[in-house]
Amino acid sequence: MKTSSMLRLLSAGFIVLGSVYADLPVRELTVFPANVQLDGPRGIQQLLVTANADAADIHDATVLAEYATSDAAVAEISDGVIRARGNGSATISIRLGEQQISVPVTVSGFDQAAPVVFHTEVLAALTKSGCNMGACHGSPSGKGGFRLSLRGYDPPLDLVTLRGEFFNRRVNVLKPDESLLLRKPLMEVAHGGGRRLDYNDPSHMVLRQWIAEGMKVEPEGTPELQSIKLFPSPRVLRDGADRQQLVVLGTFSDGAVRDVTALTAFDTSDESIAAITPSGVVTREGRGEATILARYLDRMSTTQISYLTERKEFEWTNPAEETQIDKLVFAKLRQLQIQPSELCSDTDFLRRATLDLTGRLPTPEEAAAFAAEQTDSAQKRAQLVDRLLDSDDHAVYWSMKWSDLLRVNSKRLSSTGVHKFRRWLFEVVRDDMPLDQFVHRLLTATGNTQLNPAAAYWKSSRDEIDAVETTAQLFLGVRIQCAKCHNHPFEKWTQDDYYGMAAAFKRVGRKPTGLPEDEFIFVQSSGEVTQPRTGQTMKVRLLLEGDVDVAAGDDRRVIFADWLVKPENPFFARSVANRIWGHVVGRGIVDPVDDFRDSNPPSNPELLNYLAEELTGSGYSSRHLLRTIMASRVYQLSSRRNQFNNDDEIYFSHATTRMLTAEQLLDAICSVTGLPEQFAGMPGGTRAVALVDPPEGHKFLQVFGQPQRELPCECERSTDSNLSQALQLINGPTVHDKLRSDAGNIHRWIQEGRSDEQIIDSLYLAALSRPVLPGEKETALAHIKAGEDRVRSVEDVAWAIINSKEFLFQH
Amino acid sequence: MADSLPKTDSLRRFFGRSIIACLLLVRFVTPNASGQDPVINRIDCAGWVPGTTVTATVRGSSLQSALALWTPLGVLRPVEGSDLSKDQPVSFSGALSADAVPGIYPARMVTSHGVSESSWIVAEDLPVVALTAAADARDPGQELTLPCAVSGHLTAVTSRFFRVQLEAGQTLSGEVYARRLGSSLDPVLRLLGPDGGEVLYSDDQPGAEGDSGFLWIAKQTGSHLLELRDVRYSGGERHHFHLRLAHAALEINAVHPVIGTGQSAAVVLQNGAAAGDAVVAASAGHELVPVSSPIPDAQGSRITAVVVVDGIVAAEQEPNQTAETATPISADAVALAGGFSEAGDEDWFRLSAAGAGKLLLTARTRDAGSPVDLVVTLFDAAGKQLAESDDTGPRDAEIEFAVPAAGDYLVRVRELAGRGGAAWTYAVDLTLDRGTVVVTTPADRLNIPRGGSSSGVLTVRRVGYGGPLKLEAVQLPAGLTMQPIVVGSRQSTVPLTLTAAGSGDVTDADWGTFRVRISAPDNDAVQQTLQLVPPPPPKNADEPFRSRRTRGDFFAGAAPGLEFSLRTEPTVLKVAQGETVSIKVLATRSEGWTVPVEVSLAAPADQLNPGVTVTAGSMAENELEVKIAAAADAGPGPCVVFLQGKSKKDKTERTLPVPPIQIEVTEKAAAEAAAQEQPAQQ
Repeated sequence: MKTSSMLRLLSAGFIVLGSVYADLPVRELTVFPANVQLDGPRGIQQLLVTANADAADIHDATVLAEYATSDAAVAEISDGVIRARGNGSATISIRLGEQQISVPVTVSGFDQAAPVVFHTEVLAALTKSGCNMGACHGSPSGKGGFRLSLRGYDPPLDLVTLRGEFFNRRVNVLKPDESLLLRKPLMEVAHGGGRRLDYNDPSHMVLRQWIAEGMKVEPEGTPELQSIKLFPSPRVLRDGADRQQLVVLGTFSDGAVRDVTALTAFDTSDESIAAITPSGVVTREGRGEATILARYLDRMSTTQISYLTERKEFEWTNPAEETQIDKLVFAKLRQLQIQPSELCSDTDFLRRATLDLTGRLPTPEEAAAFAAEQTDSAQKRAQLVDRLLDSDDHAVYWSMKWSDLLRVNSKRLSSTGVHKFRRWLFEVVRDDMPLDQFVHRLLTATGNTQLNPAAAYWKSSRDEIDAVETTAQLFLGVRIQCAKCHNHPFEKWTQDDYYGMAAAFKRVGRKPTGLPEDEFIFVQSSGEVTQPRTGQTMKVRLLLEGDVDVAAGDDRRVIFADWLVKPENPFFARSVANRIWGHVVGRGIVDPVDDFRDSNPPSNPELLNYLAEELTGSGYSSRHLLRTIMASRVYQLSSRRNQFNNDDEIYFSHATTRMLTAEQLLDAICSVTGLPEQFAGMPGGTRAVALVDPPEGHKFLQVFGQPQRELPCECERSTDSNLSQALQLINGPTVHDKLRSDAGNIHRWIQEGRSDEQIIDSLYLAALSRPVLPGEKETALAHIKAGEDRVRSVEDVAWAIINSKEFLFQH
Repeated sequence: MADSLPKTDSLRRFFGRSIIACLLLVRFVTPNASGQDPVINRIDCAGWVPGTTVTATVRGSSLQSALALWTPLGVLRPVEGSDLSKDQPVSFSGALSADAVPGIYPARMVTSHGVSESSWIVAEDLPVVALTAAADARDPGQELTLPCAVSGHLTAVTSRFFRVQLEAGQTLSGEVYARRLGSSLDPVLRLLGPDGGEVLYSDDQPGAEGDSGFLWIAKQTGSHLLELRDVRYSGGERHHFHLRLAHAALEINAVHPVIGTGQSAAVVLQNGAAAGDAVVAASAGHELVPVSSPIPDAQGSRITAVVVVDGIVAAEQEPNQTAETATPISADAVALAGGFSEAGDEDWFRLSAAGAGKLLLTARTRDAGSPVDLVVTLFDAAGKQLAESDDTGPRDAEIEFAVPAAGDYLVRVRELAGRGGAAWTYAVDLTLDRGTVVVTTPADRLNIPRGGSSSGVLTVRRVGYGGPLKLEAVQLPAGLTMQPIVVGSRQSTVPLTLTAAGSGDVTDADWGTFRVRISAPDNDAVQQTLQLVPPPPPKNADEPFRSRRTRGDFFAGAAPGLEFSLRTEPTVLKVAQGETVSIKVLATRSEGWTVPVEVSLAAPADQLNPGVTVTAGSMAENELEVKIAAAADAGPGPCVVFLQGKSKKDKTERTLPVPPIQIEVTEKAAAEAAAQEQPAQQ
């Protein structure tokens, strides 16, 4: 957005805001920072002025307040920005309504030269204006023959490019305004990247001054940036409080703290809730929570802005809080004025829990028995969960989930290996092996992959690069891939972190054993990782802890695995708990479930922390966590929405409706039609969820998104609906042939002499786990009676049920 | 003629310390016969019970003209009345030796067009039970009374089901032999309790090449169902199994995988407890031989195997986990042996060298049926590491080290992945203060075309000994011949060539086992050791599986003659330094084979004595003069010229060996003196 346009908009906004805020009762004013130190002639400080900071009607008053300076020769202020004008001290007075507050300002070093610092200002200016982003000059091949390092991660390269390339034709130090480096982003000459600078905007001023000063590099010893912090801390703004100024303070190696807001790049996690201007002004776009990410060089900081809108008709119904999960979720919902749905029916719960835990539909017998149970609903639901958790079907289904993530396919593990590894996963789930032990065993496994199936993790991950990315995504919940080539653009992970982690996995050796499809995994005594950009030999690095020395002869993986699974590790328990939550609830507290980052915070941090504590406290029992989640009212909420949660997709105010997965759907169709699918090389009756390897060329499963297990990511399973799926269900051979088969349920029931009513009852119980409703039965009977061929007509009824949303979706 | 199972004592008498029986050669460059070698996919037999007459049916390919099914337990003949003219399953019958030790033995099919690779059978002393149709389905499953053994095979996507009645607290033990018999079945065993729930799942046992076994105590009284299937649900003609079940622990391991001839074998159960007396089958040396131990209070034996070597095997003495407590090894030991009783164990040994010389340490684990991946490390007495080895290509660890002086040296062995238990045993062949000749070859069989020859390559490695070696066949079937040869000191690639007599039907004289004796003509102290190279593993589970199990003796048989055969005149001659001699290579051709035969060296030319060159060429007709020249400074002594003839017509290409030509390079002065003496004598 151009500065001039922004100013006009702000001015207009000021008038609007002024009229809104005219009625704002200002009981208290606070200002941040409370006192200001400016150094040099370019010293600048953005103020944050807040009205009613500790109250529900908190407002940002930065542009509303009236400002005055006690000495304009020392410091000036306009629109909440203080600028140095000369050495000395001054006081800025701030007034809004009846309230007044003042800020002492000290200016020093004004008479000293303050040349632009290349490393902390020029690079920041290029980043803020987007010159060095991946889509432009920061791409590996640059643009238009001009290549910069991505987001300034390689300053020496940028220096050479800016100062030395093509005989320095991009800049004119004698006439800086004629520099192509400025003219192009100002659109004074054609520029494929469009306008990236406005005259006298902060980035333009920095670049221009640097050119005018001769494009110097600051001397050694110039203070470096150590960290940044974004203010204010998370803030909830209600009706009328639509605007929030942000301030970014940078801490430098000499201890100085300076305002770097003007050169900070800002992003919002949800533009439909909060937009942000280049100058750090957040504006309301919708209702909800948004995370704001501030990036300055390679440092990042976040804050959260919540926009609430008063709902006049909303009245919290105070639903029962059966568990701590309910307390934490409902607290958030109440704050956001979102009404949770009602409790789901027993039928819905039976179907939902059975699908979530075993991947199959309840059998008609199970459905009938559950309905007939006279015990208290909560108790019988809890007992159902226990039965399902103890069943082999649960182990089959959840070992399938692990197989997806661990990339269990025959290309990676061989046709023998997939069977052995899957069996081991089955036993892990069946025996509720503590997840810390499970992961530790995977990461530190050695020996024959056929004797010790856990070692197949290292058969699948063939080198340390793959191991870093896979391990980080699976067990830390971190997508660290970007840091392979450069410091992560949106996260704190650096290339050093990436290659330091790789050092833990470098010494894994693999060799044949003499048995077909078997491989021996062992630890080698040598092998180092070199950081490709710096050439440094990397020590093992534990994220957020730093480098560790590993004794010669020790298995570095053990060091890593010990760190990973210790209860204090900030990643593992939260990541695993989030993943399990996401599996049964349909959405992670952090979503995607393997994408933990500052700019993607949990929708309910307290809930996530609680689940992580439950997991560690139970000895990392996944069964315990599942039981805990499914005992909550939150899990048992209906999928039917109300007027106050109709647009909620994040805060778990209702059950998530989601389509059955490929395997669930195929198995469901088989169970309704009574005709199992025949998979090549597997015994008859094998369910799709029990397949050890995605079958090649199975059209139905592929169309419905079965992953090929090439990625350690939940995202590989496609959940998008498409036309092919519709055609498969409406007219595809799988549904058609199973309905038509003489060996299927329908034909068998007819031959047994069942009446139409009985067949319809059986179909509804098998497919939907509930009795048919009178209206539904009437419609179905009418269709059958009207048909010329009874068999075909009954098939039609079954087809209609299979194509209904109630069948296709979990709800 | 096939030999009967030799006794251990007579074997030891027959082969002294300085010779070695080894037959190893037999991955032959020559395409044996015309690709018609019989192939055994499996042998169906209700039970190979020593002391009984058994009937066995061989299934495979190229089975026509079957003559015999050979095993060391006895030779079976085709059942009378069988139509042997077609390529179809053949049934054999014959008596088995009564004193055979239960365990795994080879079996080979002999036909008039060649002999097969080894298949493997189990000589069984448990009550054998025939497989019935009831085993095809879970309900009913075949009812079994224990102890018992049952054999069969699996087709694709099928299982076999067996029912066993158990009392709560009763032991059930089972082991499946499949991969160890060369079967392509990768078995898993699954036990379901009386309520149908799974109570046990057994997949791979360490050191069993992928076979399964278990020991379990019943928790409930009632009918238990045992399911046997392939881990991938695959099946076929090669997916055979031999299942043993008992109410006592079946699985045993030899405390040491290698023993010396005359030494006893100690065996233990999986929990490390002693398993009682063990009987070792007789051995031709350097092969896995059965070891059995009777099951207490039950009919039948537990079975395992050891490698028997000629000489003393020194056993570890615990504790020996440190250099200070290293087990001292006597000077006359040819191997050391031990085991890693628990995970993380490592063992130390102390050797005392009498002087400078060569030290050779060669690990034996996987070839001896042990799952250990051994790492061998050599230290000097001060603890400085001198060498370390994990694998040597496809083989186990080996260290060859030039010992600089007399003194103590320490050897540390450990398992690469730090595993341990009763099955985790090892041995290390040891050569110190003496020369050694190590002969390696992949073990298989040799089919020799009638009237012609076949050869296979021995790789000979000399350690601490650089002289000539004599190779001769022992107990060769009467219809086959092998000219004894003395190979030169540089010759390490030695095609061993056998010749089959020219005509007539194949008789029992034309096939059987034999051994190769290798000796150093001028040094009885040289120790010969044998390293068997098992067949290469299949690339994937869909290829036929071959067990790593190898024999110490060799098998050869006559096969139909080929399009041509080659011989030389003379086969023995001398050539003096500075002289050139000629030999004739003569061909016998079948009608129509008129294409040229290209004669060339079959072994590297630089392995001949220095200065000796051989000039061959193309044989258009049936005779070719080959010149052997010795330079004036040619190295004196014996060596063997190995030639081969290659010929192609249409799509048929043959490379056939020429029987070896033994030459002796003499010094010129000696030759002149000899020449002068001759006229004088005349």
